[in-house]
Amino acid sequence: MIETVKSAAHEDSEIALFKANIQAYRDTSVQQGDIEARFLPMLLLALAMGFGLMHALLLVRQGAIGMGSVLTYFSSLSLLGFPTNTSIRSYSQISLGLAGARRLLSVMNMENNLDKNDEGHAGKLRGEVEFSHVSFAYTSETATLKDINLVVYPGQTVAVVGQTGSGKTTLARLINRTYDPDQGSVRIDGVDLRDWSLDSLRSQISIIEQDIFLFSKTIAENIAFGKPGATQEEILVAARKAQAENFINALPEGFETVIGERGVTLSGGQRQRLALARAFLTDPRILILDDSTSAIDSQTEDEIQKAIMLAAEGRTTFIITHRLSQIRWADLIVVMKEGLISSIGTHEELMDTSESYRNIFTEVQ
Amino acid sequence: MGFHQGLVGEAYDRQYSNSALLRRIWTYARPYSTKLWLMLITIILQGVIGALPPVLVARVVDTGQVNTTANRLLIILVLAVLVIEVLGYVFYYVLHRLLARVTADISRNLATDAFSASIQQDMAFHDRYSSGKIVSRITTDNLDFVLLIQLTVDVLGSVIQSLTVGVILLRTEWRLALALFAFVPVTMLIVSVYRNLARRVTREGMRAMANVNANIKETISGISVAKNFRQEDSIYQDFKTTNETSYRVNYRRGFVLSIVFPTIRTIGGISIALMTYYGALTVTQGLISAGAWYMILLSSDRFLMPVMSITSYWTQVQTGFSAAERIFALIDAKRTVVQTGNYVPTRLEGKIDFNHLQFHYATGGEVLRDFDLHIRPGENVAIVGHTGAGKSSIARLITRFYEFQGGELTIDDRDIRSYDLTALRTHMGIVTQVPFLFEGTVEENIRFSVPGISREEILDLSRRIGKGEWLETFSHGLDTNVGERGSQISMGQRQLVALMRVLAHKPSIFILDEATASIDPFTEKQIQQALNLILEQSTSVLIAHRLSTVTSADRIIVLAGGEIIEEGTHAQLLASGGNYAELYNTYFRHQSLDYVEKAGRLYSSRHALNPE
Repeated sequence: MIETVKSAAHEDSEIALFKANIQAYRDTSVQQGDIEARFLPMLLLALAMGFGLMHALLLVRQGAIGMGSVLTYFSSLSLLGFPTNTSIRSYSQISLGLAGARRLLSVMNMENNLDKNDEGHAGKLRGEVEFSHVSFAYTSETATLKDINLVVYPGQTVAVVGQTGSGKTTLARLINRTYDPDQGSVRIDGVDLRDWSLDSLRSQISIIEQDIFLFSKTIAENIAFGKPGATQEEILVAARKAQAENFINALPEGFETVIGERGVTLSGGQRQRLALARAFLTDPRILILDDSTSAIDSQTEDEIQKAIMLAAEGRTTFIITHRLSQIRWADLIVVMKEGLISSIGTHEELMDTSESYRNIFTEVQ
Repeated sequence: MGFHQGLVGEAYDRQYSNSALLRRIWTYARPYSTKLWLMLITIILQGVIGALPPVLVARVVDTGQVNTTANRLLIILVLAVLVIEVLGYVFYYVLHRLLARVTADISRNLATDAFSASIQQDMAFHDRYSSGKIVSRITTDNLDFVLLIQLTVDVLGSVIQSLTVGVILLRTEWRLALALFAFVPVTMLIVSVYRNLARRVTREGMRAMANVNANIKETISGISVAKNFRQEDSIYQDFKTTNETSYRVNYRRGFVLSIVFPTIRTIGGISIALMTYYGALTVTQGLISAGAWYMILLSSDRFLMPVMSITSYWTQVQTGFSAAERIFALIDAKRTVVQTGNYVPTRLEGKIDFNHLQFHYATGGEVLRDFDLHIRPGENVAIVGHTGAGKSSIARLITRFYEFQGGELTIDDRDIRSYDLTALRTHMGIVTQVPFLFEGTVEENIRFSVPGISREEILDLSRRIGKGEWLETFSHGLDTNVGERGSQISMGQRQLVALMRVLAHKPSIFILDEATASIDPFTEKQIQQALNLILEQSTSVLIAHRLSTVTSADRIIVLAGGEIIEEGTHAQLLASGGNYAELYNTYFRHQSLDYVEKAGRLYSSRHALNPE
């Protein structure tokens, strides 16, 4: 970041921005200090000590109490000093605690608005996906997807292409019912997703997210995450299919290498192949791959390409991708633009019909 | 001037002598010296009058005993107690208002100085020290130092009160006073033993809590994976184990911490019990008055409590001072990039010459040794090579982010050190891997380097790239807010905006450290177009990661181990089948349309791919 600031010769304005922020911080801490300084219980205590002593002496004069009682009384009053002093801190801590409790409760009381529909349709999935007139919005302001119509046959590979924010990822999330569409319906094997048993549905759909998450555990445990009882042999085969075997064996402890914060850091391409291995092991009927990692070198690219081709075999596969090579070999290409499908078809069809599509497959002169 | 020494000789953390440290702190305190004097007076007054109520009450007792009709004196004494108590509040109020202002101001000034110093440091500095640690100096160390000021004020007040009480006690009844003083070392010992214990359990508790946090962080980030494979239960069990460990450790911590006040009050209680007994004996023997005895009892608390706070104060002083030392070290860290002149060029031709240049980073071996590179005005040079070949170093030297150790680097035949740095950089268009955008509209960001350009001109430029289609993808066209650091728009759009800025700016020298992030093919195409337009107008040094960028350069420099091993055009170099061809096969082949077509063909016969 600092390099970009320097490149733009922008140091002075960054300092100015910092000054404005720190001044605001300074002003609030002075305010806090003033409030603490005004702490009224201290004044009340002072008045209580003074008037208390006065009153006690008045009582002595009337002969109601003796001097000993005055001493007892005044000593007891003095004991109030300690709690009064400590209560300065307590007030802010109590309000912090209350605010914390409120946040905790709001999380605990949040409702899950997807019903699991345990009695719904269950069964082996063939992998036919159909969107009809699907619209969806995260917020009421702008629709993320508008009137999407799409039919994918079992076993097809679909490349979803488009700029960031065009709705690619959202489209994918409707397939495993992460969200329900606002309008229209998504059907798998002809059954509306809302009529499927959520468990049966999700157990046959696997998503590999754009940011691949691996647990701070061994490689073998990470691969077997979706199938806890998997044998060594199964894990090995999955890794091999995902083209991950070679790099795993090159790691200090092979499949037992711990990854993540307390272990080895893996590159984007390596993480992606582990995620693929994870998917091979659970053998889903529908695979959704959000593939935005960029391969730094051609060999990694070759391997990822091969792994994804293998993964796409025998199941319906959606690939959200930036890679021209994947777009090139997909059975169906969906070009998204601002929430709409701007063009759809095979590579040959799009080369004929779409100018912007043709452009990306031509060298710039 | 020894540049070599400048790079490696200065360790950034340094030891300041105590007097140097105090003088330095004083420079920050001096602007507020009036407030500080006022505070000191308030502290003294507060300490002294804090010791008085027991004395006055003792008088009341004595007066009341000797003569019940001494009404006037009694009234005066009682009123005095009232006034003193109220004054105590007033002093407290004044002192804390002043304290809040002084600490907030000093803290602000320190933070500003530390921030400016670190942002103006050269890149060598930022490579060596992680931003996290710098941030913690500006924030955490600053807070520690402020805490030291606050504690000093508290402790100073306590000491004055303690001293006043001590003097009064000695003058009243020295034997009882000495008995009370005997409790001082005992109290100090117990407080310091207790503090060590508390520190240990707190550290353990925090460690356990950190484990819980790490577990939650990992679980929440991995939640979609867990849901995807329906493993919610197993990660919940993981969490439960960690959480229960933390519960046990922190339960113990809570217990230890909660016995502190009872323990300390017990010491106070024992001292009072002893004083009561022996005091009563002396009273019955007529050595002191009942009032004096009562006064000593009341005062013992006011005497011992400050002793406890002084005991815990010393560690805080150390923390505060070393915090101050760390902040000053950051402010004082020497810069390595030093300009010898302040020549302000009106325009640059864009001629760049490296002559026998030597360069290494502050840590690590030589990057460039006897390096020669001559770039003609208007030429476009792409630098390729494996990681660590020195590609970025060349760009960083031209942008003058780093100091070199030997040889010469000239821009338009003038030593790069003789330029005014800001002026020099305004003639350069630098696009880094993460382009710099500031909060504002797309238009404002493009206009950044050329304030005079009109909206029409910007629109004209925009239309030269993909017929202006890229602007349509922004929700409000040129008026779209890009968000803080460009966070509201995509990586590809940020690059486009940054390139548009260079296009509008028309700098003499264009430096590109190309991003490796993958961008959708449509945006990618437009970035290529923008880049090609820039190459026509500026001398360009391109650290290329895209095949299209490499092929569009006039000359490709192949770098290995800080040396140029090949140069020429893409076609020439590829044909010669040397190092460039190898690099091409390693990094660029998969970006070629050839490769893409092959992948398409491979798929049609993919049964051949079966690994069995």
